[in-house]
Amino acid sequence: MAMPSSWWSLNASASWRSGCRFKNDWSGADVYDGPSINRVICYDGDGIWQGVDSSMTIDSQWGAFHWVRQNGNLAGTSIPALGVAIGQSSQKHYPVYEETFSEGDIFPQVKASDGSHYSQRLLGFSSSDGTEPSDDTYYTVYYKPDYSGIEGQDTGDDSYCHLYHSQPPVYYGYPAQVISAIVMEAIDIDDYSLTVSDFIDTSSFDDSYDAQCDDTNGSQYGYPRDHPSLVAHAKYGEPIVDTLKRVSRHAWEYLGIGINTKLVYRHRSADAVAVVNSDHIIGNVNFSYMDDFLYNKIHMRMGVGRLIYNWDETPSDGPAPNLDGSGFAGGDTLTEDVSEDTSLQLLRSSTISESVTKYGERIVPGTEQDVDRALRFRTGDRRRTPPPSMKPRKQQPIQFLSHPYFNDIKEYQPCQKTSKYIEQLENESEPLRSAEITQDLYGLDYDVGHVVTVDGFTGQGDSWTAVCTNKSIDFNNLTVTSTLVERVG
Amino acid sequence: MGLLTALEKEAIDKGYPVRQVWKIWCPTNSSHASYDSHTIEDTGDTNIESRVVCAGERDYNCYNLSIGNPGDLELPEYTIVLSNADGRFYPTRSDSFFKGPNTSYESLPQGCYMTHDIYVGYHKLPSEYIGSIISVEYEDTGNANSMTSALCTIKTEPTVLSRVLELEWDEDRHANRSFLNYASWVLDGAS
Repeated sequence: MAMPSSWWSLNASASWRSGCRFKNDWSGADVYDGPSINRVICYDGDGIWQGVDSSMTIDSQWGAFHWVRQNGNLAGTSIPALGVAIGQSSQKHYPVYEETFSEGDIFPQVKASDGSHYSQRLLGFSSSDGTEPSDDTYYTVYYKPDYSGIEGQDTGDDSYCHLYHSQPPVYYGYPAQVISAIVMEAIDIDDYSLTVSDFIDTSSFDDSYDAQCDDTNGSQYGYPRDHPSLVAHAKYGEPIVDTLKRVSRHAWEYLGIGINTKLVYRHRSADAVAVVNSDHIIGNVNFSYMDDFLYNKIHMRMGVGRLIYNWDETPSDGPAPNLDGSGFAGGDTLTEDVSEDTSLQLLRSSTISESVTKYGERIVPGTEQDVDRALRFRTGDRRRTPPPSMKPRKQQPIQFLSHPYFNDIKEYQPCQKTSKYIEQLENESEPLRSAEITQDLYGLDYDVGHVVTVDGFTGQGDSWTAVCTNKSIDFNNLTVTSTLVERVG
Repeated sequence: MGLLTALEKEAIDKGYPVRQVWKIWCPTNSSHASYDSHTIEDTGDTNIESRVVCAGERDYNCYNLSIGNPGDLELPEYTIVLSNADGRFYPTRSDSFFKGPNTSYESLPQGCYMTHDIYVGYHKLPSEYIGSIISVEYEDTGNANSMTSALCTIKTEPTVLSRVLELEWDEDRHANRSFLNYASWVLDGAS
């Protein structure tokens, strides 16, 4: 199993992006692909401005995109506040000037397609017959996004006023899919007549994809097959590399630039691909231990709250999402109260006393005491004051149970098996050996992110497995220096 | 099984000569629709004058090393120093240029890219590199009108990945992708 064969074809139809998509679900309208939309909100017919849709409400399916809304029948609403919103948002992209607004009388100046500006009446259109506005029919426009505005368009006899909206793309899929989709989509390979395989190590992504989506194929995550794992929102102004790093933190794979100068995404538990022994090592081997790199104390119980969610426990009343995103039930699938399921309340303890002695406690966020306190609060036992981060709502996520990058549910919806996640945390508490070795060109036998077998180093045991985390190739003396860190888990 | 084949390992073991090849690919015209390659050094070809003074090094790393400490993701920049004996790189008062080998078109160095490959015997090793030229710095020879034989420090970064990873999301970033269907965005016939 690997990515679909069409996945890596930039020239394929849009179906190559199956599993990753960005769509706006405009309530009451069809679903559109694409990052922006232009919609006529009113037009000038025979000198009378008319609204074309009296009930247009625009929300995004993904929950965080309540960007634009138009409502009718808002007589009595505090219109000046809305007017300020129009001016503020539009200044960032479209020069729609803020006017002095008053109820029933909004005339913002809008930008026409020819670059000129003129006043456009937005409030008080009749939705049906083109007559002068009646007192009880108002159209108000809320603006929240950075990139939204109003465009006027003069097309001769008829002029249109457009509501313009744009949002960053949303990617939905397994981390391997999302990362590769972002890179492929952002790239313009025409300049160099390149293909995807010229800049992406596709086999490494295929391996990681297998691990992430197939529970029967050595997955470290337990993502059941065909259940995409995350929803990733791009952000205007964010470097793409930061987006990729954010996404990669939702899995345990290594993301890097390989020695063939391609983007690699190495599966962490891949079998050893090479053996490193003393035969081709030049100079000394520098060993060190990396216990200051780790959490050295884990004592926690998980499975409470909805932030670490087990897709296996998909509620019976919510459809399981399919690979193409259909059937996605959004927040509905995240409201399950797993605290009743004792199989998900896992208690794990692990302490590395030597490291604690040396560095003090480096404890993972979320202790058993925290969980107990939260549980009591959830179940109505309020003898103790709840943590400050919690509000008195039963469905409030208990955020301190997980690591920060799993917390922001507005950005992602993590769906990892709790047991696997705790195993990974435990791995973080293991003391690791690190070795920096310099080899001849044999050092090109493995890449960053590769798991290797280290064999025959004097005084360091018979054999151990390690991952190559850094590589430096000196082309003057043709040596390859690699950093190998003992692999756990 | 590693990245090297048995034959490549055998060639390394037997001490086969190592050959490094650097090429600069320059556009043939302003459209950058096609490129010509210019070999600036081939250590296995005695007919080509040795020009690379410092072959440099490249560093690779990976991100997401640990749940607690992910590390960072950095591009493997690559810098070499070469003798400009053929005078193809030359500065002007405002900028520097690179003259292609087969045409009269002169490109900014930033319009060119460089490839670097290593061979053991006839075996090409997996450290292929293709990088865009970021900058060219010239040794001060005391003669600003002639940079022939001056040392040039050429800094490059991975061609495609650097252009992707250093981009920021903006409204145009995904609005111009040809494979997206934008035709249906405008509703109600009011395009």
